[in-house]
Amino acid sequence: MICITGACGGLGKAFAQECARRGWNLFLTDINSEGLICLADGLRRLYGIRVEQFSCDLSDSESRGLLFGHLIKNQLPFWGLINVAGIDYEGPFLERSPQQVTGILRLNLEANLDVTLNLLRLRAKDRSFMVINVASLAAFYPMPLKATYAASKRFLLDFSLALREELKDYGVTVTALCPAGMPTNENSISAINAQGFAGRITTKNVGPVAAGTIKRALKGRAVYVPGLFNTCIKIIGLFVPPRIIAWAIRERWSKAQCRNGRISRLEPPVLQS
Amino acid sequence: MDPSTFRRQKTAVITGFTSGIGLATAKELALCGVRIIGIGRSRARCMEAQKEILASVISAGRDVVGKESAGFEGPGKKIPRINAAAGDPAGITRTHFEATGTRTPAGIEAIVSKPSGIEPGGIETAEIDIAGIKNAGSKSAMAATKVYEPVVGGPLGDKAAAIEGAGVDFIVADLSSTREVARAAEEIRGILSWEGRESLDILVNNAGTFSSWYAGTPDGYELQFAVNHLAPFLLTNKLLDLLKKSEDGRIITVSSGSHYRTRIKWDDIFLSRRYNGLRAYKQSKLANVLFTAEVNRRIGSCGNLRAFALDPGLIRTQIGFKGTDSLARWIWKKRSDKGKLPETAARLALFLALDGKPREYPDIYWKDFKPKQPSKYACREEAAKRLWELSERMCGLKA
Repeated sequence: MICITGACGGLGKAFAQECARRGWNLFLTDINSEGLICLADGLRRLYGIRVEQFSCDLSDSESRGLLFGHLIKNQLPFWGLINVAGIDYEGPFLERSPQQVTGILRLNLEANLDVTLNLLRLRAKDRSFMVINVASLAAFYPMPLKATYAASKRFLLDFSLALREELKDYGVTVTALCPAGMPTNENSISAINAQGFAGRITTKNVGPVAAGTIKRALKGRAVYVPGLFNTCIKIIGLFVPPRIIAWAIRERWSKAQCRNGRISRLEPPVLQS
Repeated sequence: MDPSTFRRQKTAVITGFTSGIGLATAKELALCGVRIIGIGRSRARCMEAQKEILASVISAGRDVVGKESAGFEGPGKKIPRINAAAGDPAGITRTHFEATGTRTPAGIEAIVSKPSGIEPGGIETAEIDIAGIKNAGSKSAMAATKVYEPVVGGPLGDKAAAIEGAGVDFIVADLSSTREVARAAEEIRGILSWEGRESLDILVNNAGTFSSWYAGTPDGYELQFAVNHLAPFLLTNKLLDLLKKSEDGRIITVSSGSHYRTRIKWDDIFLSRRYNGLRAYKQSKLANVLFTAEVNRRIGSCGNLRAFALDPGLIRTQIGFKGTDSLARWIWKKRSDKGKLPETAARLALFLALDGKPREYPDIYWKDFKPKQPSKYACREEAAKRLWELSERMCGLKA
């Protein structure tokens, strides 16, 4: 059974669909309880697989406690975890409320690590285990205007790489997915359109991204950056000093801001919650 | 209103009735005295469309019609005078005609006698093509045409009653979700039974979408497949018993010429592994034709109900501007500028919904008021059957 967090978001749904297509049983969780039931029903009907669902606010430790209690009680044989749930808010740091800033950390990091640890303990001991963490292309740079988000994704990327080595001997693989913008909702689509050509070329469809990620995770790859152009951006990031990258991004962003009268994003504001 | 009136008046369900072809079709049908139940995604836009449809009915002088045709029943009788609305060549403004005519089972054979609203002699440029049968008026301002009886035995004596009779209701539902489609069907049943109606006469599966990007639906399926194919499939199935009870039931699904030169990708029907917006659109429109063919096969014995796939041709609508990337927008802008107005497609819908002629043909695919051969793939019986069974599974119609 595979556990997917943030299953009702655009990328979460694509992962759920891809796994279901492969005939894998699923455990889905999301803050949106109605959407979760609807999604689970749809996948069950079409693919005839076993789908369990449990609604949970992952950013809340009590709610997480209920989730883990449910998992322990049911003793589901997990052999995979896809951490999709993540969040970002639009706007410069100074315009964000303290709740928003800590909220990003709470969901993107705290919840992620907590779920990973608990699921690894519950894993089916007789087979290998696959962890997929959804980081971001933003993980490769310090990004002005998305400072908290980008840094949280950097944390996830580094953490995934380290954990991968640590758990190699236990038959656990850890793969970090680092996508650029993804058209998951109307907001993110308008944000991508606002970026013009750059938006178009960096953007990849969630369906193929999910399929490509699963394929690579099964091979035990460490990092997956979807798209040739995005891979180039990543490689540039490896050679240019972070300070200069931060400056360049700010230049580009503020120009985009002038053009659109608002801040243009490389990523949708809310991936999943 | 007297319940027996409801029973005689035709009823139509139109999905996506708030804009484009759907709105134009709703207007045309309302002008023919058909009671409309629209389905739209946003309440605000539904209300706007409702207002617009009612306004067009009022401006076409339905109240006069009501008075004149009251008490008129049965084919073959002379109508003293009917007031028909016809479009000008561009199909935008409506002009009123006074006409006398005879009711036939297919509608009303009317002789236009006095156009009011355009100058005498100017009628030659006016087309009376409500039924889609174009008949330009002669110089003498006399034109034989076929006009539908605006109100079937209409009891409407005043304007308020005319509005009530025109009856435009709507249901707010997101057709990408199978749950919402099922709920919409339940609500339609509720409205119909509340009014004492036992049947549904016309279902126009018009709502369609295009998306440059892969988007998942609440059920975890692909957006275009869900909205363009699954929603019509499920809605039709949920309303099929009511449609079968109609004396002259019609299911009209708006397909497209883009269904040519494509196939159903069975091993990745959502195209999730290699998504292409246009590919997904073409596939969903092919699915419309396959569905129409299969529904006709399945209801075969029930002679009163027919399903048609409508090819509107290139129509100037907003479909290419929603959920698309800049390239698709640009292409659609260039392309749709050459397109016809939604009214053109609406007249074909009206023709398929009310005219007796389409029934006389075995063909299911119609374009420009003529039957047309759909693609070879669309004629494959085994593909239609397979798609039907797959759709049943997706919608949970069969365990």
